[in-house]
Amino acid sequence: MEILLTLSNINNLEKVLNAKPNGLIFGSKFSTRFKYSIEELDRINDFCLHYNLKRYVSIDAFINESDKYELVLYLNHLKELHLDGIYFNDLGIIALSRRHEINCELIYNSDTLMTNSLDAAFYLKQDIGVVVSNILSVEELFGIIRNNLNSLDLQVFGYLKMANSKREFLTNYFKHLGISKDIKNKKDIYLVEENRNYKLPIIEDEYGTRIYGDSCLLMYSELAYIKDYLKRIIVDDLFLENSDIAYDVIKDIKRLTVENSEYLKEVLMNKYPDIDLSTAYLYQKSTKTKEENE
Amino acid sequence: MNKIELLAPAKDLIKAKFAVDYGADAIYLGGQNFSLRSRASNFTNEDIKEIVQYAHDRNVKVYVTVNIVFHDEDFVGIKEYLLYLGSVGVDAIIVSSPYVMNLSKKLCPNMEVHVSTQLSSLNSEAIETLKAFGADRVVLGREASMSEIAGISGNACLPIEVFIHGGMCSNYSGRCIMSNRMTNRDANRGGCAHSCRWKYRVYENDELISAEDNPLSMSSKDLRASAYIEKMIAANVSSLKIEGRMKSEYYIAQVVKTYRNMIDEIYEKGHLDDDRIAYYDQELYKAENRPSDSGFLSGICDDSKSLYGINGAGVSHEYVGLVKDYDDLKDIAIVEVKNMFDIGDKLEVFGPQLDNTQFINNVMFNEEWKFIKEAHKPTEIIYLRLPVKVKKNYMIRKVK
Repeated sequence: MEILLTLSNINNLEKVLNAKPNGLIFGSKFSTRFKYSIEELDRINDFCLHYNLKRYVSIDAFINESDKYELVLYLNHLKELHLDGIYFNDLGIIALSRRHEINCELIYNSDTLMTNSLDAAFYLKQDIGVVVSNILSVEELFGIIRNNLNSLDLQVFGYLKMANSKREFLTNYFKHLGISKDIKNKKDIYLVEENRNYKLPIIEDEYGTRIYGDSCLLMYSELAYIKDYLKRIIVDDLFLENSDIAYDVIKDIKRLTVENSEYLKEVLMNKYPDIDLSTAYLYQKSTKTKEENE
Repeated sequence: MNKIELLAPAKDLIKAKFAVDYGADAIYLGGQNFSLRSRASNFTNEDIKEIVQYAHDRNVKVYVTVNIVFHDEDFVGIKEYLLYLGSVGVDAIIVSSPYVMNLSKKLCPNMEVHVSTQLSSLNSEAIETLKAFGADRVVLGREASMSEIAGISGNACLPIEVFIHGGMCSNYSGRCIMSNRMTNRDANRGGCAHSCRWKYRVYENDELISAEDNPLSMSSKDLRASAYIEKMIAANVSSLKIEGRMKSEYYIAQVVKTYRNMIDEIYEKGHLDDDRIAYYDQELYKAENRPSDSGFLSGICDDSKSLYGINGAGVSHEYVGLVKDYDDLKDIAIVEVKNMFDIGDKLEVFGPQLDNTQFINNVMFNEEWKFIKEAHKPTEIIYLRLPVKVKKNYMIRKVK
């Protein structure tokens, strides 16, 4: 099992070494998550090579037909880096990568669609890795891992994406109000629904808008049982770039056991009281119909 | 070159027959399991068998949605269900799970697999990947512009299907779990609560930056692609899809008939000028209950395509009666009342073989053949004198 850390801020590279993940996830073009220039991408790549960290690039944007040429150029650049893997969201990446012989591992991260053992097994059989969706209950999660031992990726820490749109929700709204406001790529904007108190972080960029959950996933108790049966574990530092919590989580995961999980969780929560940590959907099994829920 | 397909939704057996009768080339519907739109009164297996027979007798195809995002527990009975669909002659399933795509091709090689819009396919490379998975057709994501659609179609290795009318997800379909968080209802298994249409305050660094009296909503106008049908035909799109498995028989009839006429006119004349498109838009407005526009087709999805503080918009024409039969001897229509109307009202009757025909309602009787001045009881049967002979399932609406 590998522990991967997303790198949301290039200035944190040195800190990463202290936490000692097995690899980093970063990106440049066609990424809603990482906004590094190609030069910065190459610099991160060199850093990882120097310190023997694995290198995974995220291409999580949906690809327009008219963007294919630029994407191929980017993929060819990535090919030269001999990456360990590419996380992708658009199924077109599979066909393109095979045609252009991008020989690193491809890992499908759809956020919401990888919810069963059989679809996961289907992709694995095609030599495509998969990130399991965090929408599953703990029983469902354990089941999908049991059915695909040592083959799956899972995000175990961080804010979870709740919605992904091509629309520019914030720009459109302020335009509607007649207000000029600079909101692109800001990470300190959030929504509150009028009848609920959840604070939902929202980020808008050139690819559209993403909305995230109101709390930060932490699943030590559950992870203690499954970590040895996963291929890769993802620790996501989005919105937490100025905190050391992601590094502490990596250190904790390395020594995590069934016996110490509650203790480690308590220590972490006491150290970071301002961060709302939760098990997200693990114990919130959703229903299929309105009636079922009433 | 094959004529472009008009694909209509069906909530139940009755509405499916309306879609067929009013001009759809194909219909899509959901069974009682494995389908999104859990609140649609979905089809039993027997219903599916009946509608396949009804549709095939009229040279219309039937597609069945098997498009939930499966969890492990949801697969119970899937093989038997696919085999059943194949055995009764269903033409295709609409699916998002690659496992189900593959399984269906093995079990029922003659039943096509159409990839759901849930997979947000927006380029020809994604279509190539899906072909390798066993797909026969791909429904594009609703985020593609017309020029992107033309580009995809030109390069695609499979036929493509494009949404042209109806509700729009504000987010990429399938990539939204707001409903799960806000209401515990799984959007990807039929329980979407439309949380995107709710009202949200916006904060930056804990400071309120939205308007107190006009909060943010992510609600989108519905899609209306009337101005793009000619371009879709030119781009060799295979199928034009109307959204709305929850919609009424009136909506289905009016929208299907309008696009049917429009497509036929384009094939007949080669081109529609702006006046004709405006005419068809007016027809579509008659069934509209939310404002609509061209969505992403124009390439820009700005604030004019969002709804702030509005959800419904009312309709310009009100559906008041459904023709149940026509008495040739008495020259009178037997009509089921749908909404209130009175003597003196200006009405319009239309049907699969009848274009809009307006008249003033001068004579109507109740079931005891007594003159009545008002029809105010929905489901009541009345007799109505019309200016033309009509048939069962023709519709009458009030002209406002």
